[in-house]
Amino acid sequence: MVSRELRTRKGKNTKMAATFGILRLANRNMLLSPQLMTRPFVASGLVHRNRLQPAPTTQFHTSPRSLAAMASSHWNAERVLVLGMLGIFPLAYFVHNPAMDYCLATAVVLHGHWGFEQIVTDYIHGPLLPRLSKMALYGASILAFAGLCYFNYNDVGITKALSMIWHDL
Amino acid sequence: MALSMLLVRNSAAISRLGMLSAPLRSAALSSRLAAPMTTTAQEEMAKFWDKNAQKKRPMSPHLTIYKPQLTAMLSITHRGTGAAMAGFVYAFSVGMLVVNPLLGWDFPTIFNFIKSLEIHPWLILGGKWCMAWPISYHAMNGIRHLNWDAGYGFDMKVLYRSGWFVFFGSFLLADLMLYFL
Amino acid sequence: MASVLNKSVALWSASRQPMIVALQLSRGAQTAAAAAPQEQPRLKKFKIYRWDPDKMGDKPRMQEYSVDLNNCGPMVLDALIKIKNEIDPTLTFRRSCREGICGSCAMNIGGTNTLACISRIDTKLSKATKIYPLPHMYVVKDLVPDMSNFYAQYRSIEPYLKRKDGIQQGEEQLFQSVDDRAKLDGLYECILCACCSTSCPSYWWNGDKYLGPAVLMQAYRWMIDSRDQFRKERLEKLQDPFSVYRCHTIMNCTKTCPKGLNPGRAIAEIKKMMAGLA
Repeated sequence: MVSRELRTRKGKNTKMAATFGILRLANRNMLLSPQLMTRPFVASGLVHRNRLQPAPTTQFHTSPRSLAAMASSHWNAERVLVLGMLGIFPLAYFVHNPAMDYCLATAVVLHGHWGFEQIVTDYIHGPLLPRLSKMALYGASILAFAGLCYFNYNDVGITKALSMIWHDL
Repeated sequence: MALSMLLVRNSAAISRLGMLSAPLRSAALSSRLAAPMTTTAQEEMAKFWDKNAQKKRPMSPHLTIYKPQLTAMLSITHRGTGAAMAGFVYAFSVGMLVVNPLLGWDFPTIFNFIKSLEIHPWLILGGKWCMAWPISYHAMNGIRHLNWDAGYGFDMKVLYRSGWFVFFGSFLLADLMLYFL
Repeated sequence: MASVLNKSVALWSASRQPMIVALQLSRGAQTAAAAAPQEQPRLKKFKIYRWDPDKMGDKPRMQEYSVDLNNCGPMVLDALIKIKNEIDPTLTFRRSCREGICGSCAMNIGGTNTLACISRIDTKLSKATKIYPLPHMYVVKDLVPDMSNFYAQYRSIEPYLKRKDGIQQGEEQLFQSVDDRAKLDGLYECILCACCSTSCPSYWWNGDKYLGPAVLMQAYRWMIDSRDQFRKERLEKLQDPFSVYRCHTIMNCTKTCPKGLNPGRAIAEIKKMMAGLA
């Protein structure tokens, strides 16, 4: 551990003193340096990101702040819709009119679409298949919503149909 | 004074020991005792997939060996009932969108046709139950989910109690829907 | 005087020797007679997942071992070590502390993930105990999974204090109130055994992009540490459909945690914090 320079110096005392001096310096340095025995546990946010800090696992958000919270906004919207449905479903038993029909159509298709989307994201992997599946799902949901609107407009409507099935069948 | 003399005389030795020759207050992150990793976390992950694909290692079994527990069973049933109901609604909606303009089969027509089949009342009841139970289970478990989203009900005892409550309650609610609605 | 005493004690013991030997023999015989009905070995069957990377064309298989529970410790790890010592030295598994703190011996026992060292052997001899590696993990050998992805994910959440005031370590103390410290209870005790993450079906299907309960609970642990100043940035880093939002509150994680922790609750708290940002 002692360098060649130290070994050539005259006198054992000088060598000893120098060694101990370095060791004392080493101890003080270790206590005050940001390093411990492993990686730094207090990383200053002011330090420019270096190779130690891993790249984020998410995409870089160079878009405005409002778009950056897309994932959590979607989560919020899902909960709001569900709370709304908890309100209108019992109401739909008593209130039978076109407004209720269109509310139900919107809620059911939107909730179903978001549910299917989660299923696609969970189970369908790869470079192409998820994108195709999502496109097909959008198509199906638009068709389904169109179909329900058509049903509400040109046919008996959702609430009447359910009433017929439940009471007249 | 003595310290700076020490530093000057032994600077080569110090640097050979790998000590920082910069001022002690520097935030430099290299040290003899803590070698920084040369790869990022993302690179490590990529290496993981490459290495395991190349080595053709088997994947340890999962669905076939994991014990079916209330937690996962109720969760997959929630997804199953949801997907089944939405699938039915989508199919019905697209179906009506096709048959009504093309064949003139509006809902009362189809309804009367089914009535004319004179299906046994018990089968009719069974069919209605098949419509009622998924909605009652999905709604009750949905409320359980909303409780979780608010931060409640995560203790294992509470979770299992609410789980059994939802499971048995859904059958009760479906029956209530059949007889009172 | 002392030597006379010593000599007399020695002489006395020597004279008693035959009697002592006779007593021991008879006592031994009695013990043997008493133990004879208990000598029936209690054989427990263990079916263990085996795969050898060095054997060309080897396919994963289940190998059965019989262990006499009369000569074995009570925990599954005791049985594994006994099998390795006495029956099959090629059986490969990780283990270290044998007391449920290091997390090395995490494996799937009887269908659920737990630590072998604190999992009691089911003494019902009619049933075999099935032991598999942690589910949906690449197998290095026998019960040893490749944990590198798990560790890289842990690293990616930056599990250390981050501050914005640029103070150096040791310059001043980062005081924390008792209440703030209490918030870390139930989070810091995680031993990163990966039982929870590998019990999560979402982590099975999306282990590449979903961080999993263990890592997310640690992300939460650093978010709510009062000494950390990067909570907002930590939350923003999770804003994508996979890192957090593959969690559908299946709750296999909390059910299986061998340390009694609650990662499911921690993830719900993360979602709540992220919702506040939205």
